[in-house]
Amino acid sequence: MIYRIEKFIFSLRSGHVNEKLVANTNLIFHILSILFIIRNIEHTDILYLFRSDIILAINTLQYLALFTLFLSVFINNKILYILNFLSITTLLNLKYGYNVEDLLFQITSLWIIFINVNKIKLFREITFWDNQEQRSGYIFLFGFNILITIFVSGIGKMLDPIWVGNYGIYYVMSLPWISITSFADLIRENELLVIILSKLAVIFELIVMPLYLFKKLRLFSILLLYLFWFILMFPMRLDFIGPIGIVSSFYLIAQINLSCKL
Amino acid sequence: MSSNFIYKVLFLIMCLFLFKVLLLENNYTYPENIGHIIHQENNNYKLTLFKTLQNYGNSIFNYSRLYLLNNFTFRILNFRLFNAQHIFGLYQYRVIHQLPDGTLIEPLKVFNEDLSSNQSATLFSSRYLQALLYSVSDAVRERRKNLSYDIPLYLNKLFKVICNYSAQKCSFKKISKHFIYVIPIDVPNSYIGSNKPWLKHKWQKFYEEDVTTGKASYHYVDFNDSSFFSTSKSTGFRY
Repeated sequence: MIYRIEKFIFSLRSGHVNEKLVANTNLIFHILSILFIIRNIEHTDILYLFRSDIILAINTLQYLALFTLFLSVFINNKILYILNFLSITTLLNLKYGYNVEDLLFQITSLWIIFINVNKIKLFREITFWDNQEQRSGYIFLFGFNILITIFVSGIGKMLDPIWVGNYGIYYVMSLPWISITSFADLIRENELLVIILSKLAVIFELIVMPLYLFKKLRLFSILLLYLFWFILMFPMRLDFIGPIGIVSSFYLIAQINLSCKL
Repeated sequence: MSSNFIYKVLFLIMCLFLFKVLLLENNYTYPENIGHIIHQENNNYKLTLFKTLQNYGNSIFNYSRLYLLNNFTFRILNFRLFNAQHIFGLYQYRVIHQLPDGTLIEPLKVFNEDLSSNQSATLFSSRYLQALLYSVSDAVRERRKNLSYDIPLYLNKLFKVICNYSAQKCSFKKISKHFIYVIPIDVPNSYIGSNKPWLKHKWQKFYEEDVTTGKASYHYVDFNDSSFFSTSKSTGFRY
């Protein structure tokens, strides 16, 4: 039984890593992270209003993150990746509230370590990966981490009154501050469209993670994920979720052997 | 430690957190006194699916420190995106400052007068200020329900910080008063086509702070909103 479970877990790895794509995504992610930390610094008063006793430590962390992220744009170094992750996760866990973009920045900075660093030496040497197949496993786990979140959201919708009633999209589009007005009006005035889109939204959230577990359907699942990020960017305009989601998902593409697919 | 071992362990930990969320955290907690939501009444039986299991399981997890590991790494939590708590019982806010000559200014525009979001923001801007509407809504809701309700200290502090943050954006040195105006996001409680009930309301003064004395006071707000109150409290921003 245990052998079978192990075999299943290892069978999830694609065995392919597009190194160029990973390297380029690292670069874009670090530039985005710099912007993200700058936004964090701009809003320090509000985000850390209940941490005034350690505000000096928070400021230090913010500038440390900025410095290490800046270096990471030019240097591929494991210490920098670890420092990036530690500073980002600490800052985000100390702040007041937690948004979706925070989640994406936190988990991306975590998985970047596993994807890019093959071994680290703490008290003893820890090897993350020796070959591309093992490395692709961490890319798979990163995607799994993102998609779990969407899957959990889908389960939440199944238990939510507005989504159970198939009118979820109607209520979301009724929030005047979220979507682009003309687009929202177009959807809201058509009841059938509302019902279809609401069902599709829940189905998408429920199936995208299970699809990802199948190697043959993984590309399709990632494409669905891209569609999701684009919808959050336009017409929803949930800023920073779209851009960071799109960039993070480049890592997921890196595990797909596109030349084979095409 | 071998690489295969680390991969395996990470996968299993994530599965553990996933099952914890699915089995122990998923429930329907939206308050009953929110008012008349037709869809809730029709589907209430579906919404209490996991409750019994959860009580047992959560008591086991509460003794562990695994949540710390989870929060600082994978963050596999009970993620809710656009569920009822993001829709109902919410209020938008605007921060207005009064100059000594009585002029009103609004240097920080989070929401526009028609409740739309301030679209001058770029794709790479955060939604921190917009997300504060959940905390503001907590205060307004409670206050509307009960006039003698004391706004908690953390919300008092939040209002002061928002006002100061906005004042810093202002080029005028002397400000005599800060105000926070609110308006309900009056989302219809059943399908009514493309009507926009939220447009019939007017912004009302909720919070007032005298800059010289630092004294803050709260105003009674009364909207003829068709919907309801919600007692759901946010613990900071929501997803």
